[in-house]
Amino acid sequence: MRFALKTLLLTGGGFLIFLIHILFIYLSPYPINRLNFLFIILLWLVIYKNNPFVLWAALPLSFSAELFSSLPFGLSTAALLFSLFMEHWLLLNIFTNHSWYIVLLCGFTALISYRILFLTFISGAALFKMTDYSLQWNFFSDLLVEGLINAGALTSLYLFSRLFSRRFNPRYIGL
Amino acid sequence: MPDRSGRKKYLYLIFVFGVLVILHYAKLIAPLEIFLRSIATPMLSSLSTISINLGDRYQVFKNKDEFISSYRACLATVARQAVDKAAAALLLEENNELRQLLTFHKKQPAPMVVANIIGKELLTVGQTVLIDRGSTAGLVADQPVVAEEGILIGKILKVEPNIATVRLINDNQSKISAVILNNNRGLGVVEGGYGISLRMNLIPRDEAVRIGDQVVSSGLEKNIPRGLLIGTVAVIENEPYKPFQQAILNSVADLSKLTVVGALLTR
Repeated sequence: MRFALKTLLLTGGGFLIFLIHILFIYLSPYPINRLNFLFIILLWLVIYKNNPFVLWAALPLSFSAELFSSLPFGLSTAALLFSLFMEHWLLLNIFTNHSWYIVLLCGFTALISYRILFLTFISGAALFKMTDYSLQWNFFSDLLVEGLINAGALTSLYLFSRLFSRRFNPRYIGL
Repeated sequence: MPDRSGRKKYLYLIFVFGVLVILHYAKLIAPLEIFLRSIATPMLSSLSTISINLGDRYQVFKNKDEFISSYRACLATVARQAVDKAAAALLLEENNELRQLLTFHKKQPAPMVVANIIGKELLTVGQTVLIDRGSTAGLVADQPVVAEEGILIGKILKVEPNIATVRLINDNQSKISAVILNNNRGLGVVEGGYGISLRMNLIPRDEAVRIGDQVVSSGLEKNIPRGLLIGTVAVIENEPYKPFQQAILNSVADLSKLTVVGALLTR
């Protein structure tokens, strides 16, 4: 019963995240539509929980997005997974101080690494004629905009969640 | 470095991902993918409609004089178009007679599959849209997609059984061989410009291009028939130190508000 409830909650949560991701892309103007909500949530989970288990959530979420993509299957998920692995490693070994500016830096580096990995994989796929992608100069300006927007959103989400977790965490409640 | 168990979790995840990719390319999870797409498509379609309505722009006039002058300009355009229409009808008639005299056969237009736009792509930053027809309706990659009465809006990029992705002409990766309807019929390549404009490159410098000239597909490209309207010339850039001139085009169709399109089955 408990397992079924947990599965239902996880599925519902995943669907909600996917829906919000679509809402941002479809309904918001530029540059807010560059906000990668799936990525932000996954990164927030990695920072907040600091547990590699949350990386499993990337698989069904990215798979859902891949169903509506013109890219060769697996490219985006691979870039997402490896950038999250890298960010998890950085959080464990280098960015150990979870202050807001570290979270901001995390968001920026994670997005940049995601896009660079994505570019590497798609260039590899283009070599094998799986796609006809060619690098354009605006990729780099887009990257900067995307990095700033996503890092800002991640920091806001982190600070907001920390506010609540501190308020309701029994460790911070004085008796 | 993460501990051994952490590294193991990474490896398990990579393994599961690898299996998923193999299953996808072996088409073993195709029924599941079709099922998931069929669930999400109505939601995407509704959101796409809302998105189009939200993006609806109204023309704003600063004052009464501006409104009146715009209205007069519209009336002048309508009058000019009426004259052009009459001249075009005469030319069409004359053309048909000449064709008959020369025993030309009328070229059969390619059959068309009408499709609804159900949304945008969720992963790339490019200008692509999803349509609700796929390989089961005869669609294959590189077929042209038109709006209204033959306005080229893009090409089929990827096809799934019941869904296809269309790369719009304003996408950075889009390149279409085109011809300007001026006296010399100047050739060039129409490329997308950051998703907001169209740019025609590689126009020879000696071509006399004028603002307002129409640009159509050249027919030199495989699968794209000649004569599909792409846009009109808005700005001409002819720099003395460049071997070619460029033109910025206005798209005839509003690419952000497309709802129904047609894919030409040219293959």
